[in-house]
Amino acid sequence: MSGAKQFTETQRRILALVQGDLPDVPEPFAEVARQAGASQEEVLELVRGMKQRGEIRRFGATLRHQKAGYGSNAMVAWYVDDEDMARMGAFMAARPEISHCYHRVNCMDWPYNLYTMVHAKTPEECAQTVAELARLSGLEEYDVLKSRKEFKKTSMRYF
Amino acid sequence: MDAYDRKILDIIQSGFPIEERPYAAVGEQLGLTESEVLARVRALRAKGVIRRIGANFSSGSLGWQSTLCAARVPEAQIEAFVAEVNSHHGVTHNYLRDHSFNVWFTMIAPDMAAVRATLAEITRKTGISVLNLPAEELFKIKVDFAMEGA
Repeated sequence: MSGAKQFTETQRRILALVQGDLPDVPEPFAEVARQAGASQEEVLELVRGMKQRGEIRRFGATLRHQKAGYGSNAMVAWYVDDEDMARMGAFMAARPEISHCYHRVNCMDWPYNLYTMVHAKTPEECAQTVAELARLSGLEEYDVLKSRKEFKKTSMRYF
Repeated sequence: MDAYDRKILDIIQSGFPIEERPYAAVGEQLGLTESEVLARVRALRAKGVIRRIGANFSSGSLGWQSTLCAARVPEAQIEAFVAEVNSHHGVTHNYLRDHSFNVWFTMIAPDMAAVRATLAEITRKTGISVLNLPAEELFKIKVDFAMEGA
Protein backbone atom coordinates (compact mmCIF):
# COMPACT_ATOMS: atom_id res chain seq x y z
CA MET A 1 0.00 0.00 0.00
CA SER A 2 1.36 3.43 -0.97
CA GLY A 3 0.21 5.12 2.24
CA ALA A 4 -1.19 8.52 3.01
CA LYS A 5 -0.45 11.36 0.60
CA GLN A 6 1.87 14.04 1.98
CA PHE A 7 1.34 17.82 1.92
CA THR A 8 3.42 20.89 2.80
CA GLU A 9 2.84 22.67 6.10
CA THR A 10 1.04 25.54 4.35
CA GLN A 11 -1.16 23.11 2.42
CA ARG A 12 -1.98 21.28 5.64
CA ARG A 13 -3.04 24.55 7.29
CA ILE A 14 -5.30 25.35 4.31
CA LEU A 15 -6.79 21.84 4.27
CA ALA A 16 -7.32 21.89 8.04
CA LEU A 17 -9.54 24.95 7.48
CA VAL A 18 -11.51 23.72 4.45
CA GLN A 19 -12.19 20.30 6.01
CA GLY A 20 -14.27 22.20 8.58
CA ASP A 21 -16.80 24.91 7.89
CA LEU A 22 -15.86 27.75 5.51
CA PRO A 23 -15.84 31.21 7.08
CA ASP A 24 -19.28 32.77 6.69
CA VAL A 25 -18.16 35.81 4.68
CA PRO A 26 -18.55 36.95 1.05
CA GLU A 27 -14.93 36.00 0.24
CA PRO A 28 -14.40 32.77 2.22
CA PHE A 29 -11.27 31.64 0.35
CA ALA A 30 -9.54 34.96 1.01
CA GLU A 31 -10.32 34.49 4.71
CA VAL A 32 -8.99 30.90 4.63
CA ALA A 33 -5.82 32.23 2.96
CA ARG A 34 -5.42 34.90 5.63
CA GLN A 35 -5.83 32.38 8.47
CA ALA A 36 -3.44 29.88 6.82
CA GLY A 37 -0.79 32.47 5.97
CA ALA A 38 -1.15 31.76 2.25
CA SER A 39 -2.35 33.67 -0.80
CA GLN A 40 -5.92 33.31 -2.05
CA GLU A 41 -4.47 32.00 -5.33
CA GLU A 42 -2.68 29.16 -3.48
CA VAL A 43 -5.91 28.24 -1.70
CA LEU A 44 -8.00 28.23 -4.89
CA GLU A 45 -5.36 26.25 -6.84
CA LEU A 46 -4.97 23.65 -4.11
CA VAL A 47 -8.72 23.11 -3.68
CA ARG A 48 -9.44 23.10 -7.42
CA GLY A 49 -6.55 20.70 -8.11
CA MET A 50 -7.57 18.28 -5.38
CA LYS A 51 -11.16 18.38 -6.59
CA GLN A 52 -10.01 17.66 -10.17
CA ARG A 53 -7.88 14.73 -9.00
CA GLY A 54 -10.76 13.35 -6.94
CA GLU A 55 -8.90 13.79 -3.64
CA ILE A 56 -11.71 16.16 -2.74
CA ARG A 57 -14.76 14.08 -3.62
CA ARG A 58 -17.17 16.94 -3.18
CA PHE A 59 -16.81 20.57 -2.20
CA GLY A 60 -19.94 22.23 -0.87
CA ALA A 61 -22.77 22.22 1.59
CA THR A 62 -23.51 19.13 3.68
CA LEU A 63 -27.16 19.02 4.70
CA ARG A 64 -28.86 17.49 7.68
CA HIS A 65 -31.00 14.91 5.92
CA GLN A 66 -33.83 14.97 8.43
CA LYS A 67 -34.23 18.72 8.05
CA ALA A 68 -33.98 18.47 4.27
CA GLY A 69 -37.01 16.16 4.21
CA TYR A 70 -35.25 12.81 3.82
CA GLY A 71 -36.06 11.51 7.28
CA SER A 72 -35.86 7.75 6.90
CA ASN A 73 -32.93 5.58 5.92
CA ALA A 74 -31.75 2.03 6.19
CA MET A 75 -28.54 0.20 5.57
CA VAL A 76 -29.30 -2.95 3.61
CA ALA A 77 -26.66 -5.68 3.46
CA TRP A 78 -27.09 -8.18 0.60
CA TYR A 79 -25.43 -11.45 -0.29
CA VAL A 80 -24.36 -11.48 -3.93
CA ASP A 81 -22.50 -14.27 -5.74
CA ASP A 82 -19.09 -13.12 -6.95
CA GLU A 83 -19.98 -13.49 -10.61
CA ASP A 84 -23.02 -11.22 -10.17
CA MET A 85 -21.28 -8.54 -8.11
CA ALA A 86 -20.42 -6.10 -10.91
CA ARG A 87 -23.94 -6.25 -12.36
CA MET A 88 -25.65 -5.89 -8.96
CA GLY A 89 -23.33 -3.05 -7.95
CA ALA A 90 -24.19 -1.19 -11.13
CA PHE A 91 -27.90 -1.86 -10.63
CA MET A 92 -27.91 -0.52 -7.07
CA ALA A 93 -25.67 2.45 -7.93
CA ALA A 94 -28.08 3.57 -10.65
CA ARG A 95 -30.95 3.90 -8.15
CA PRO A 96 -31.52 7.50 -7.02
CA GLU A 97 -32.70 6.39 -3.54
CA ILE A 98 -29.29 4.85 -2.85
CA SER A 99 -26.56 7.21 -1.66
CA HIS A 100 -23.79 4.73 -0.88
CA CYS A 101 -23.07 1.33 -2.41
CA TYR A 102 -20.04 -0.78 -1.57
CA HIS A 103 -18.79 -4.28 -2.18
CA ARG A 104 -17.23 -5.32 1.12
CA VAL A 105 -15.42 -8.42 2.32
CA ASN A 106 -17.57 -10.94 4.16
CA CYS A 107 -16.61 -13.55 6.71
CA MET A 108 -17.84 -16.64 8.55
CA ASP A 109 -19.85 -14.55 11.00
CA TRP A 110 -21.31 -12.24 8.39
CA PRO A 111 -22.23 -13.49 4.90
CA TYR A 112 -23.31 -10.22 3.27
CA ASN A 113 -20.98 -8.56 0.80
CA LEU A 114 -22.94 -5.73 -0.89
CA TYR A 115 -24.05 -2.71 1.13
CA THR A 116 -26.55 -0.02 0.18
CA MET A 117 -27.73 3.07 2.07
CA VAL A 118 -31.35 3.66 1.14
CA HIS A 119 -32.98 7.06 1.78
CA ALA A 120 -36.64 7.96 1.78
CA LYS A 121 -38.98 10.56 3.15
CA THR A 122 -40.91 8.14 5.39
CA PRO A 123 -40.27 4.68 6.92
CA GLU A 124 -43.07 3.26 4.73
CA GLU A 125 -41.46 4.62 1.57
CA CYS A 126 -38.11 3.21 2.75
CA ALA A 127 -39.58 -0.28 3.27
CA GLN A 128 -41.28 -0.11 -0.13
CA THR A 129 -38.01 0.82 -1.80
CA VAL A 130 -36.15 -2.07 -0.15
CA ALA A 131 -38.87 -4.51 -1.25
CA GLU A 132 -38.68 -3.15 -4.79
CA LEU A 133 -34.88 -3.46 -4.85
CA ALA A 134 -35.16 -7.08 -3.71
CA ARG A 135 -37.80 -7.86 -6.32
CA LEU A 136 -35.98 -6.19 -9.22
CA SER A 137 -32.54 -7.55 -8.31
CA GLY A 138 -33.74 -11.05 -7.51
CA LEU A 139 -31.49 -11.03 -4.44
CA GLU A 140 -32.99 -13.16 -1.69
CA GLU A 141 -30.47 -13.09 1.14
CA TYR A 142 -30.38 -9.68 2.75
CA ASP A 143 -30.79 -7.93 6.06
CA VAL A 144 -32.23 -4.49 6.69
CA LEU A 145 -30.28 -2.70 9.40
CA LYS A 146 -32.39 0.22 10.57
CA SER A 147 -30.63 2.73 12.76
CA ARG A 148 -32.16 3.10 16.20
CA LYS A 149 -29.76 5.66 17.61
CA GLU A 150 -26.94 7.84 16.30
CA PHE A 151 -23.87 7.65 18.56
CA LYS A 152 -21.52 9.66 16.38
CA LYS A 153 -21.65 11.46 13.05
CA THR A 154 -18.74 13.65 12.07
CA SER A 155 -16.65 14.46 9.04
CA MET A 156 -13.17 12.95 9.18
CA ARG A 157 -10.44 15.41 10.14
CA TYR A 158 -7.49 14.29 8.01
CA PHE A 159 -5.40 17.41 8.60
CA MET B 1 -37.65 26.90 2.37
CA ASP B 2 -38.79 28.45 -0.91
CA ALA B 3 -37.92 27.76 -4.55
CA TYR B 4 -34.80 29.96 -4.44
CA ASP B 5 -33.54 28.21 -1.31
CA ARG B 6 -33.96 24.85 -3.02
CA LYS B 7 -32.14 26.08 -6.14
CA ILE B 8 -29.30 27.43 -4.03
CA LEU B 9 -29.00 24.10 -2.18
CA ASP B 10 -29.00 22.16 -5.44
CA ILE B 11 -26.06 24.27 -6.64
CA ILE B 12 -23.95 24.52 -3.50
CA GLN B 13 -24.09 20.86 -2.41
CA SER B 14 -21.80 19.69 -5.21
CA GLY B 15 -20.99 22.81 -7.20
CA PHE B 16 -20.03 25.39 -4.57
CA PRO B 17 -17.99 27.80 -6.75
CA ILE B 18 -14.29 27.65 -5.89
CA GLU B 19 -13.86 31.30 -6.76
CA GLU B 20 -13.08 34.58 -5.05
CA ARG B 21 -16.76 35.53 -4.64
CA PRO B 22 -18.69 32.24 -4.63
CA TYR B 23 -22.02 33.72 -3.53
CA ALA B 24 -21.92 36.27 -6.34
CA ALA B 25 -21.30 33.39 -8.78
CA VAL B 26 -24.30 31.45 -7.43
CA GLY B 27 -26.39 34.64 -7.63
CA GLU B 28 -25.45 35.10 -11.27
CA GLN B 29 -26.85 31.66 -12.09
CA LEU B 30 -30.14 32.44 -10.34
CA GLY B 31 -30.66 36.15 -10.90
CA LEU B 32 -30.00 37.08 -7.26
CA THR B 33 -27.46 39.46 -5.79
CA GLU B 34 -24.46 38.26 -3.79
CA SER B 35 -25.96 39.60 -0.57
CA GLU B 36 -29.32 37.91 -1.22
CA VAL B 37 -27.61 34.53 -1.72
CA LEU B 38 -25.41 34.97 1.35
CA ALA B 39 -28.42 35.96 3.48
CA ARG B 40 -30.33 32.86 2.34
CA VAL B 41 -27.34 30.58 3.00
CA ARG B 42 -26.95 32.12 6.47
CA ALA B 43 -30.63 31.50 7.20
CA LEU B 44 -30.33 27.87 6.04
CA ARG B 45 -27.32 27.42 8.33
CA ALA B 46 -29.19 29.03 11.24
CA LYS B 47 -32.17 26.71 10.68
CA GLY B 48 -29.80 23.74 10.70
CA VAL B 49 -30.58 22.66 7.12
CA ILE B 50 -26.92 23.22 6.19
CA ARG B 51 -24.60 21.39 8.58
CA ARG B 52 -21.37 22.74 7.10
CA ILE B 53 -19.81 24.02 3.90
CA GLY B 54 -16.40 22.65 3.01
CA ALA B 55 -14.33 19.89 1.48
CA ASN B 56 -15.27 16.20 1.62
CA PHE B 57 -12.15 14.20 1.00
CA SER B 58 -11.90 10.81 -0.66
CA SER B 59 -10.08 8.66 1.87
CA GLY B 60 -8.93 6.27 -0.87
CA SER B 61 -7.56 9.00 -3.16
CA LEU B 62 -5.63 10.42 -0.20
CA GLY B 63 -4.13 6.96 0.35
CA TRP B 64 -6.08 6.31 3.58
CA GLN B 65 -7.94 3.14 4.49
CA SER B 66 -11.60 3.16 5.48
CA THR B 67 -13.70 0.33 6.81
CA LEU B 68 -17.09 -0.62 8.25
CA CYS B 69 -17.13 -2.39 11.59
CA ALA B 70 -19.81 -4.30 13.45
CA ALA B 71 -20.09 -5.76 16.92
CA ARG B 72 -22.55 -7.73 19.04
CA VAL B 73 -22.72 -5.75 22.25
CA PRO B 74 -24.81 -6.84 25.25
CA GLU B 75 -27.28 -4.13 26.31
CA ALA B 76 -25.49 -3.46 29.60
CA GLN B 77 -22.16 -2.84 27.88
CA ILE B 78 -23.35 -0.58 25.07
CA GLU B 79 -22.57 2.69 26.81
CA ALA B 80 -19.01 1.73 27.73
CA PHE B 81 -18.33 0.14 24.33
CA VAL B 82 -19.60 3.18 22.43
CA ALA B 83 -17.58 5.54 24.62
CA GLU B 84 -14.41 3.55 23.86
CA VAL B 85 -15.13 3.32 20.11
CA ASN B 86 -16.06 7.00 19.79
CA SER B 87 -12.90 8.11 21.60
CA HIS B 88 -10.92 7.12 18.49
CA HIS B 89 -10.45 10.03 16.10
CA GLY B 90 -10.88 7.91 12.96
CA VAL B 91 -14.38 6.77 13.94
CA THR B 92 -16.69 9.05 11.96
CA HIS B 93 -20.11 7.36 12.15
CA ASN B 94 -21.50 5.07 14.82
CA TYR B 95 -25.08 3.76 15.03
CA LEU B 96 -27.15 1.44 17.14
CA ARG B 97 -29.01 -0.82 14.70
CA ASP B 98 -31.85 -3.31 15.11
CA HIS B 99 -29.90 -6.55 14.70
CA SER B 100 -27.91 -9.06 16.75
CA PHE B 101 -24.90 -7.18 15.39
CA ASN B 102 -26.20 -4.01 16.99
CA VAL B 103 -23.33 -1.51 16.91
CA TRP B 104 -22.03 -0.39 13.52
CA PHE B 105 -19.31 2.16 13.01
CA THR B 106 -17.04 3.42 10.26
CA MET B 107 -13.34 4.04 10.73
CA ILE B 108 -10.71 5.84 8.66
CA ALA B 109 -6.96 5.47 9.28
CA PRO B 110 -3.73 6.08 7.35
CA ASP B 111 -3.44 2.33 6.56
CA MET B 112 -4.94 -1.08 7.37
CA ALA B 113 -2.31 -1.77 10.02
CA ALA B 114 -3.56 1.30 11.92
CA VAL B 115 -7.18 0.12 11.52
CA ARG B 116 -6.28 -3.31 12.91
CA ALA B 117 -4.31 -1.83 15.80
CA THR B 118 -7.26 0.37 16.80
CA LEU B 119 -9.74 -2.53 16.59
CA ALA B 120 -7.39 -4.70 18.67
CA GLU B 121 -7.21 -1.96 21.28
CA ILE B 122 -11.02 -1.66 21.38
CA THR B 123 -11.33 -5.43 21.86
CA ARG B 124 -8.62 -5.48 24.52
CA LYS B 125 -10.34 -2.72 26.50
CA THR B 126 -13.93 -3.95 26.15
CA GLY B 127 -13.63 -7.70 25.65
CA ILE B 128 -15.85 -7.42 22.57
CA SER B 129 -14.65 -8.63 19.18
CA VAL B 130 -15.30 -6.49 16.14
CA LEU B 131 -15.95 -7.47 12.51
CA ASN B 132 -13.72 -5.56 10.09
CA LEU B 133 -15.47 -5.23 6.70
CA PRO B 134 -13.29 -3.08 4.41
CA ALA B 135 -14.59 -2.16 0.98
CA GLU B 136 -13.37 -4.15 -2.02
CA GLU B 137 -15.05 -1.79 -4.45
CA LEU B 138 -16.92 1.48 -4.30
CA PHE B 139 -19.94 1.49 -6.60
CA LYS B 140 -21.45 4.77 -5.48
CA ILE B 141 -21.11 7.58 -3.02
CA LYS B 142 -23.43 10.45 -3.50
CA VAL B 143 -24.63 12.46 -0.59
CA ASP B 144 -26.41 15.37 -2.15
CA PHE B 145 -30.16 15.32 -2.32
CA ALA B 146 -32.30 16.93 -5.00
CA MET B 147 -34.17 19.80 -3.40
CA GLU B 148 -36.14 21.00 -6.38
CA GLY B 149 -39.23 18.87 -6.62
CA ALA B 150 -38.53 17.55 -3.12
